[in-house]
Amino acid sequence: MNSPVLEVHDLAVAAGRKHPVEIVHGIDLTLRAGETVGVVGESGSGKSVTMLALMRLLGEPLHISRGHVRFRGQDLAALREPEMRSLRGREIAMVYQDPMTSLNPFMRVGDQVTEALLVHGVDEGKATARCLELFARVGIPDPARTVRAYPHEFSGGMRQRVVIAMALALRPALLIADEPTTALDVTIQQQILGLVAELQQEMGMATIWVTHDLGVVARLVERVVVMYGGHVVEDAPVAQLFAAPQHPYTERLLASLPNPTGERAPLAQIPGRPPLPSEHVEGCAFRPRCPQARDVCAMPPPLVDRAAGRAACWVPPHEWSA
Amino acid sequence: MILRGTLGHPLVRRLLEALFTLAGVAVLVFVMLRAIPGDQITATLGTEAAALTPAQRAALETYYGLDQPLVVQFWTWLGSVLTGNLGASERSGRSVLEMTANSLPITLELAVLSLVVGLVLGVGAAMLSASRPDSARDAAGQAVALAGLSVPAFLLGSALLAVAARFLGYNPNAEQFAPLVADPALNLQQMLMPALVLGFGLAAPIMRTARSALLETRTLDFVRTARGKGVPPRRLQVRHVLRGALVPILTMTGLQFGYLLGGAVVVEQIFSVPGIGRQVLIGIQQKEYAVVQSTVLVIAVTFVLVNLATDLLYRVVDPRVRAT
Repeated sequence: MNSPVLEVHDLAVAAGRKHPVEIVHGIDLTLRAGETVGVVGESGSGKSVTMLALMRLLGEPLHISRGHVRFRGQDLAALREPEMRSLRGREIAMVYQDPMTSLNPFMRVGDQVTEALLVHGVDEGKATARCLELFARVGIPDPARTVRAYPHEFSGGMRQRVVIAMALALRPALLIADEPTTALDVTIQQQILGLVAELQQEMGMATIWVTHDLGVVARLVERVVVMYGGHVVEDAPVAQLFAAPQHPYTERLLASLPNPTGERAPLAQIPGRPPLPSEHVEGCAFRPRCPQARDVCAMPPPLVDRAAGRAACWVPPHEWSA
Repeated sequence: MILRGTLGHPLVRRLLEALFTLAGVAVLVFVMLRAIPGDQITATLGTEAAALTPAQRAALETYYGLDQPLVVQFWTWLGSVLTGNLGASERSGRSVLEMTANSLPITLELAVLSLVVGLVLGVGAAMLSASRPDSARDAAGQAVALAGLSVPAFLLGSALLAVAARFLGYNPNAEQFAPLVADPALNLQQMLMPALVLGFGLAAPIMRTARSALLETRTLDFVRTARGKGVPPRRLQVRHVLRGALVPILTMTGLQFGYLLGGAVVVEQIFSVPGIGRQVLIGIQQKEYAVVQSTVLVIAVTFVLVNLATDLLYRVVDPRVRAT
């Protein structure tokens, strides 16, 4: 196995400086070169915040409160801003959730892609040529004409292709795709997923797919990290995760998927709701909703090796009640 | 069908609106001057008007057209305005058109210079303030802006003039006014202080609008995207944040142009700049009906045209508006 591209250790994000409220509580995550990992969880589980923390793009009042983000030997959490800036877009790039708001409405789409190259020292002529090439590669028709369009002249799917072109302009070593299809029509979703997967293989970059759609995960990734309430609760190879989940939350998530045989049955739900960042849950964050909760769960469960992966649960699956 | 299509076009609609506004302005100016006690005859003759015999008075009323119904008077006036006859000064005999041709360019020059001062000061201070909100720098910027809003132009203007003349012995405005083409060096010196006074007043509202627009734009997703590709801070501030905040700044600037024309009346008087504001003021002092009526109309028309130009500028600044 090759060495890790990214090693996140005990990464925590808090809001506010004077009376900080911790939102992400010590995340561990490892990515090898070319590996594809899915990060799954409900809204508010801290997935997006964690990804922005990796890019050091958290907006006030959020900030990294502890932990390390080792990327190719450097600790991103400790890097000075100018050094971090030179990595953004060149070594680590991101595709964002909503293509309707993530492009600058006042700038031609071509200029926005070119800018990603210019700010990293590519000369203007080369950048323009590369931009046309990228437009063609991500499937935007008639690049010579469309580079001059403004974002509002494009559909959501086309805009997301622009964002993808922008992210891949410099062939980064790590791509973070933060729910890149949630804002798009279902038919377009498949095209965009296919495109990113294809480019990922072609360029051999490590990719983190952030999603709340387990279906996406099953097809695209090798390994899945499940987040709940700002914690990693399970981290396992995709096949094992689906076959034998090691955490009750993962098990409940899988149970809430529609039955693939097409049999009509009411979808299972997880009663209750995820904790708010301001709510402090003693011990395991999932305890109030967990069908397997015991007294021991009042203590925070460590993330320990379990089968082929890791899980943060005191109760092993063979002790679960049905 | 074609007509409806044309009328539906926002540009055409905007032009029609401007025309309606202008018509309204013409009516308003006309009615206002008629509503003021006294008329052209008392204005011209003063107290002696009381000594007129009814026959003399009737003759004068016929001469000025005051015996006609108001509507007829209005149409006669509008007709002559539209054919370029703005009336003449009773005293000097000069036509208002000729006077305006001299004074309007001076006021426009002053307005442009003030706008430059206002935008540079206002947007500059806003960028400094917004770069670190709630810092000492921000507080200072906001305090200066508040001062700009609160200190009236007549006070600032008089103070500046007094200090410069008394302690520095510098008062270019004491000399005969030099038109820009005749003596650019002296002209710019004479314009400097009035432009600073007007520009300072203008900078305050621009700064406040720009500051909040910049702070809001900073939090938008597209700015994060730009940071995500590694755009350095200065480029980020100018090409993304400022560019995104330009529409509200432009709106505020357009609105403030009215203030500029109004403020010009006071500032031109203080600094003896023979612009259009001074022309109105002298007209009022000397009870020159034709001068006041036509000059106010000219100012109103200028204001409407500037607003129209602002609206057209939106199309340049915001590609989304251009598409409609």
